[in-house]
Amino acid sequence: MLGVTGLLSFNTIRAKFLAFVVPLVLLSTIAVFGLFELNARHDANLKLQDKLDKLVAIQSAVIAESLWNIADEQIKLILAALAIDPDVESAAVYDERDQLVGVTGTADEMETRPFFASKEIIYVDDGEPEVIIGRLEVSLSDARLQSAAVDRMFLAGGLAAILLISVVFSSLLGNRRTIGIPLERLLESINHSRESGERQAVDWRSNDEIGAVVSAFNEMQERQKAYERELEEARDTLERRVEERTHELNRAQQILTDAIESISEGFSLYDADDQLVVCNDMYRKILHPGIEHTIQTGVTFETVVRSAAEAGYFKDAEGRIDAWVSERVAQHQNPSGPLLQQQSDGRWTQISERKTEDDGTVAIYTDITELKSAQEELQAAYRIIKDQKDRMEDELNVGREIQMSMVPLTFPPFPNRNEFSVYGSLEPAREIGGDFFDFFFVDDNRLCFCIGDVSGKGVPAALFMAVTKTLIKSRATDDRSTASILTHVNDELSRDNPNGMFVTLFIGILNIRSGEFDYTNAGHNPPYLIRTDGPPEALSDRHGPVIGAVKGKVYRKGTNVMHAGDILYMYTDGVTEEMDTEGQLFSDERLAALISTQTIDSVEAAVDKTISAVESFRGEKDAEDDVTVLAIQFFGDPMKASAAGLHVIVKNELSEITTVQQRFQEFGKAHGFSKDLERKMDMIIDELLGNVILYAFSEDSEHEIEITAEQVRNRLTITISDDGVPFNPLLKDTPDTSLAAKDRDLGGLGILLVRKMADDILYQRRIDKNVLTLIIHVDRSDDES
Amino acid sequence: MDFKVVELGDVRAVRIVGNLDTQTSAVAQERLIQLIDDGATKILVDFEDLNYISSTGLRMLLVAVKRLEGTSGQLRICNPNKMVREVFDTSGFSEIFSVYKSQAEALDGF
Repeated sequence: MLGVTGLLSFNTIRAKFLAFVVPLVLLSTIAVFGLFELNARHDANLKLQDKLDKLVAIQSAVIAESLWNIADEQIKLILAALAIDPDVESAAVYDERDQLVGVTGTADEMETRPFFASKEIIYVDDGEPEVIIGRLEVSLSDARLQSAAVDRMFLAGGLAAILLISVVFSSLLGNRRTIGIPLERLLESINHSRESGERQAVDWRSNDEIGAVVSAFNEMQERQKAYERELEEARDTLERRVEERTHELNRAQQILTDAIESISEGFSLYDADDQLVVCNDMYRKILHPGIEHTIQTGVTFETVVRSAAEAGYFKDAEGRIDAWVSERVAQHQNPSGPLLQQQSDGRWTQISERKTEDDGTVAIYTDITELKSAQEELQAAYRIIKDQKDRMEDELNVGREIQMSMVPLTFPPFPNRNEFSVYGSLEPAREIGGDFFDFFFVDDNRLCFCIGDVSGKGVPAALFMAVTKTLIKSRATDDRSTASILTHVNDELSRDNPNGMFVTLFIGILNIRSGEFDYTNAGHNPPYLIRTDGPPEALSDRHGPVIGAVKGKVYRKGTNVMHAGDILYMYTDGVTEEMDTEGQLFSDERLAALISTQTIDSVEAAVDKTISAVESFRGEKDAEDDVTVLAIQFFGDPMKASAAGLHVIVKNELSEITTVQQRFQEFGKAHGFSKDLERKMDMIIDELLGNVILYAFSEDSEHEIEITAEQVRNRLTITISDDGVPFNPLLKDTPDTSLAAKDRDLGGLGILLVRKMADDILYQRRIDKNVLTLIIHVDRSDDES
Repeated sequence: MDFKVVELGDVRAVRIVGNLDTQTSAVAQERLIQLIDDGATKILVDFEDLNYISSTGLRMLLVAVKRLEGTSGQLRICNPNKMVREVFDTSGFSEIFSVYKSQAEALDGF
């Protein structure tokens, strides 16, 4: 219980406690006892002194008688009696002469003794004054005092010791009982938990502070224990989970590794710093034979490709390794698409690289050598096929060409004839549709024209159309009857026609002097006669079936008259059967409405308005069938219609330009030209005639130039003919009118201006002459501004 | 064709009477180039009495304007008639030349 070492060591509470208690107790004991002692001593001294004084006083009185009587013996007896008192040390009597009379003890130096008294012995006789007869000196010994003091001190010391011991003891005990034990236990518990980790409760209960601390400590311990338990549990759980996870990851890793090993392509994954993370065997061994050792986790991409380049893998890298390597690294870090790489052994690898989410690069290497050669073979085969296809298409185009060449498409076709004008248009569909039209003079005064639609599509239809057209033309050379022509053409066509092809046809012959015309309609859409003075008339009579179907049919004909300005309007079913995007048909009604409501005063208007109406009706879709329109306008006899025409022949000199301009001014006055038109004419003459004079003749020879002009209704036709070198002024390039001054080239400007001023301009080479024809539509409304 | 020059301050107002065509442009060109070479920097070509202009006339104007390149000279045109205006538009010359409706407009801002 009370360990000796515990007692001696200063690192304990009890030692510290004692260090307080002991000195304090000692001090207070000493103080108390000290005070007592002093007090006692003081008392004793006083008592002794008092005794001394009294003694001296009494004895001096006693001795006085004896001394008067000089009874020495008596004095000695008195002194001896005095000496019996243990306190008396010595006493001495002196006479008046200061002679020692009697002494007990030593009289020497009595006055130095602590308790010394000296009294005069005074003899008093009755009635007599006092007389000093001597002196009594007494000294008392303080030995008794001393020994009493010593005794007292021993007692005090003993008491003090007892006190001290009991205080120490009781305080130690108290300390132990109240603090020591619980602290020890506390410490034990703490040490124990420090050493072994076990938390024990401290076995201590008391109502004091220690008790509170202990119970608080215990509570803490409990809580700590509970926390620790929880923590341990959590840690265990965590450990378990980590283990499971690690296991999973390992498995996943393994699966991944197995997977990338199992693919037949090379695989590599480099991280954001371009260091190798993982790759498969294929990448390592197959793609980098001989340098597999460079391929370790963490190696940089640059190192790998550089080793490969230096080992001579890549033809492209030969002689320029650094450049090649930096190109390759750049591509690797910023992949844009698959890369084709040729090895020096001729094999081809396709490298597909992609950035991963954390900025690494994953790459797949596929050997495409076989693929590439297969591709090349395929491309070669494709080229062969394409050539075949092109050839086939060319052959197919023949059909289209046949069609388009069979149809007259140069307008105006008869610029010198002013009795009529003719205009037509054929807009072919994707597939050749078999539409056609034709017109030709059968003699000076008769114009034959026809429009038709061959059944079917494609080359057979085009060929059939070509045959039909030729048959018509050849028959018409000496057959003036449309009925007869078609009867014969039908017989021919239906003869050798195993495929049952046929053609719908409308044919007419117009007398251009009188305006009379005959016509035969063989199953074709009824044309319209657009009158200047009245509503359009539909020529709806039919004169027989479609051509080429049945042999032996006899066709009939109809007849009518065109008046000046009337337009004969023909079309094929490509117009009326045009469909819009919703499947609605253009229809005959719509066409009839178009003709009735629109102002159609020229053949161009007739055709253009029809085409634009059909096109806008059709909308976005492709045309299914050829859209064909033919219009003929009769003007009447040129002799009757116009005032005098212009005809002038000049020499090839620039000064003649003025001559011609003057003639035109006269002509213009006669025909009511506006000022504007006159100026236009001046300019046109200057340009065209100037061109001819300057460029049509090669040497400085004299030539003649013929200029004519004629106006029929609102149509002004001008021709300029010369016998110079074949020269087509229209072939000059159109200048770029948007260029700035300094960039402008000066050629071609004149023709551009003329084209703007005229409605139509045509160049023909007629055997030995250049003939330039201009057509101007004279507007009724001319403003001068 | 008449080629008249009037001085309006530091502006040379050129009035062409008649036509600028194959026969007359050469002379007009000579006169205009002469003006430029004599130091005229502000030239106003007044077309009020111009009947028509043909491509030769246009070329003449182009030659004059090219002659002015490199100098601070300007050439302006005013009072074209309807036909001449059409010619200028068709040929794109209305982009090359500043064409004004009246002499006053043209002089303003020279």
